[in-house]
Amino acid sequence: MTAKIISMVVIYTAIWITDMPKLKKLHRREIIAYTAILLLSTYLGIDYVWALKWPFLGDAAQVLLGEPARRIVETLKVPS
Amino acid sequence: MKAKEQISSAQMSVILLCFMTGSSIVNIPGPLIGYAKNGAWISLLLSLSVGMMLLSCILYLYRKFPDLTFIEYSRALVGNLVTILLAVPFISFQFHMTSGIVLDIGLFMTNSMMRQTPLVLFIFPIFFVVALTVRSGIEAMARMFFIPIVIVLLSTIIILLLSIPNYQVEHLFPILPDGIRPVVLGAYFSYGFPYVELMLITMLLPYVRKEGRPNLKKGLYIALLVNGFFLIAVTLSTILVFGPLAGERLYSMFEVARTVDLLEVIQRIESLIGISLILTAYMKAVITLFILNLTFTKLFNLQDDRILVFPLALTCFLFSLQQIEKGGAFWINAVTVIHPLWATFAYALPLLVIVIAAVLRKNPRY
Repeated sequence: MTAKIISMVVIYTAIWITDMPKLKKLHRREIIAYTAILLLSTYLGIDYVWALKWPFLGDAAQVLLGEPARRIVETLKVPS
Repeated sequence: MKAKEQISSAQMSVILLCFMTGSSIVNIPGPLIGYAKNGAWISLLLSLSVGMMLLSCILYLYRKFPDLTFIEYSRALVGNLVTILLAVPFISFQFHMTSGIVLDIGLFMTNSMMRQTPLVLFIFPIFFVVALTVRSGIEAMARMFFIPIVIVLLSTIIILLLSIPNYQVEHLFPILPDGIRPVVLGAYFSYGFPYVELMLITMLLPYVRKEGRPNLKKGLYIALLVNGFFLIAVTLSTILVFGPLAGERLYSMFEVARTVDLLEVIQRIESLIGISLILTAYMKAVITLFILNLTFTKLFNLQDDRILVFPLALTCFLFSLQQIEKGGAFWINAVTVIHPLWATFAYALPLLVIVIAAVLRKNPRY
């Protein structure tokens, strides 16, 4: 877990150093979008570091489309 | 002021070929043959026809709005709210695609070549290079992709030719042992991956130079046909070599290359296919991440079109790890069962809505 935390800190710092000079010159709209995506990545980052298996897009697709998708495949499958 | 990036129609066609062939050339045959058995090539013909229809819809919209991306003409035709509603599945599937393409490279490496190496050591550097390429812009991408795709297609042709001694024509028969249903299932699967994904090029077409636009239609159709030809050739080759066992081979083209043994000199050339998979998947990941970034940029009307690249790449990287941490079965189910339906809601449905709106609405506001 320590290795995961260190690697995440290194990645975030690298991104911050790269984008910071540019962000200072940008409008509020860009900063809001940037922060929102960074927060999304933080959610996934926490999930990755502590192996929490929090829900994300794959789970949403599974809940919303899993059953109809399975039925389509089952209907077209020939019983072996 | 920053000049708008532009590419030629030929470069656009190469990008489409890379996008459609990337990762599918190695990943498609195994599961497709598993579904459709010996009729897999018919499934590909069916899904290719659907791809052609989607391309004609895309070109219809392009004729009407040559300078706008999908998000921009969606906004002009159906308004901001509906565009945002359509963009939710559109963006979610792009996240799924980008993370899945790179995850596939990692899984391929850990399943077939370097079993003891942690997956993250493959995925992270690939995402890093993908993000850097996306930040370099579409002009650099278009110039760069030509040679790798030629290498990939030549490697594939070499493998197909060198495998001829291992071909057994009787493996092709019976063509429809279980009737038409498995073929339809195969067509449904190959429609979801890669043909419906074609819709994403609606985001890239405005980058084509004005003078190149008359040749674009022909170039895109040729690119799609070349892609269809290679997918069918690779699928047929897999069936010809492995017969009924073809559907059980995960990276079937890699396995086909493994069987090549010519005069005891030309052998162990599967690394050619390994390199091809990595190259094509890298190119496809670059195009998908570029489009994901562009979608956000256009949706939120951002001035800077590069600022989101690194955060988006990081999100996709973590999403890749998250998908596989939920287990191999979760990932296989997402790719083989949910993927085509998700793609329909994310890509085909919005395209259909916008085409209908473009036909009905005579004076869009933009």
